[in-house]
Amino acid sequence: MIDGTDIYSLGERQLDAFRGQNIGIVFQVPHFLRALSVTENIAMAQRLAGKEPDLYRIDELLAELGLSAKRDRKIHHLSQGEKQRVSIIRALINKPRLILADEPTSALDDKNCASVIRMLKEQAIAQGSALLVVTHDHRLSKEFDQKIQLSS
Amino acid sequence: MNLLRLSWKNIWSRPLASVLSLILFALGIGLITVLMIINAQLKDQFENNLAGIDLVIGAKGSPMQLILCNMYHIDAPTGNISIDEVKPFLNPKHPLIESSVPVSVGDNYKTYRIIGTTHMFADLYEAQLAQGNWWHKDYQVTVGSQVARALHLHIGDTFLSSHGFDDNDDLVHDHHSPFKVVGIFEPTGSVLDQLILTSTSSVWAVHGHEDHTDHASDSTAHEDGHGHGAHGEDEHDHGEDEHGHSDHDHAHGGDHNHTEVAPSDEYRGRITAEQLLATPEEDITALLIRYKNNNHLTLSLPRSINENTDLQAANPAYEINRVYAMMGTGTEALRALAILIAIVSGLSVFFSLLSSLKDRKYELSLLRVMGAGRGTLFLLIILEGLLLAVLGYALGFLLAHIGAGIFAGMIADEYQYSINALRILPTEIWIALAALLIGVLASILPAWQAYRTDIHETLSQG
Repeated sequence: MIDGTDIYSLGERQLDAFRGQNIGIVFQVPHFLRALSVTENIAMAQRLAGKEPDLYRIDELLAELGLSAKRDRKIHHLSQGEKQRVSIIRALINKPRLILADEPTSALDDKNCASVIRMLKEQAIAQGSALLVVTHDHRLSKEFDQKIQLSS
Repeated sequence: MNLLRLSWKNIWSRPLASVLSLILFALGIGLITVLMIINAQLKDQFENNLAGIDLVIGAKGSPMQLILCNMYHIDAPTGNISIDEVKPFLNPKHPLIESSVPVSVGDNYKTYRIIGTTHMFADLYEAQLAQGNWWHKDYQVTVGSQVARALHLHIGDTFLSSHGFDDNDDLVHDHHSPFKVVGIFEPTGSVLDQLILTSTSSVWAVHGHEDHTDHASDSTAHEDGHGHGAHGEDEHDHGEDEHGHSDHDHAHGGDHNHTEVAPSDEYRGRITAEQLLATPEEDITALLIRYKNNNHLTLSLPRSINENTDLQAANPAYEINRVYAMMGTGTEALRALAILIAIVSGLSVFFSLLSSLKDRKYELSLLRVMGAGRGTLFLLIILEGLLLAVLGYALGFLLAHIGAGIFAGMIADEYQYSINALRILPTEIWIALAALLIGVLASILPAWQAYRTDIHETLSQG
């Protein structure tokens, strides 16, 4: 159950649409559409969720993460940290009810790690989204109040 | 960022593969189209130029050459025939023949052929005057529309002809008076547009050995007993040419002793059969004959001419079909090559899409994660194939028409034919549809693979 919707009752098309609108995912290694620029990649997420791209908001978020200068660059011109930050903006752009982050900081240095996790938390709080992070990055352990420790 | 734009950007994110596909596509489509354009227009012209002519009579040689030279004006003459030899066919009372038009070729002005003939020649092509008048004196010419346009000829202009069919300064006939343009024809869409028409006697006069200073209106002034061959290499000695005519004399040879020029004919400048018959020792290149009716007699006429006389009779429709058959082998081979290239271009689109899918596994999953359905991914790949096809077709279309234009320029110099490179054939729509089909066929398998993209499997790999 996510936000009152039983996702097991949805058909495949509905699942696709639901996923696009309500779930933002941050991957361990960020993937992008290579043919598109930073802004276009983020705008694509909005389109596929059935929304008009909000370029003003995209610029705002890019500025917040210090990426304004890169807004029209192709993804492969970006550093690993910059890519991860863009992927977080993409995950947040549709104001999803649930943000899933899989090892979002594993490829990042301390400075980038801090700004990424701060951004995730701030946005999740601002939008009222649930944020679920899977990680074994110890730099993050002090950041969250609810933890499930899995060990074998 | 809609799907079409994403497809477009995806194509150009792998420029080398896409450009290769486009080049192959354009080559295949272009080659097929250019063959179609040239074939259709040449066939059109060949058929227009049949002009209801049933039979061509000329000197012995290749029948195809006889037809090509005297009807299509693209080959050298087979030789000359004397009027005496063909007098039965000039007889207006011949039971089978509706009309017979004398043709004398052998000279040109800047590669445009000068035809010595009668006004009936223009009637074959239903030519109308655009300006000026018909030729009615020696050294007067009425020119086809294409000639006038290409050489910027106007009424009153004069020029010297040159011998043969090449524009060669050494062969200019400078011993005769210049030709004078007295009229210009309307375009007819036939070979007439490419010709310069004058009287038969003008051609004789040019090839006469006397310097004619006073050019009387009729040919009798030039009767000097020399061989006035329309084509100099092939001049007959008329004295020895008198054999076997009784075979085909059809008992109509009796009434050609009128040497007077009828005033009414003089007005239009017609050289009547009677006038020609008055100078039996003069030469012409061929006679273009229309039958009254087609029957078993007209069927056997060519054979009887070929077997019983020194003349040659050739059937234009039959010879043209032989030309088609010869052209056909060449075009078939080229067409097969073009289709092969088109298939290879389809394959190149196919492989390019397929290999791009391997690199784009994550992108496709990502699109699914962001809310794209399976159908969207399918459509995305199909669109990429279609875009390449449309673009390739557009390039091929341009290539074909530019190619046809270049070809037109080449044959316009070489032969008296013009091809309109800008004309778009209705059948070109089928080529466009075939191109789209190739695009879809080449992308359907890759699209199906994209459709089956499994998010979990891909993303769990990293």
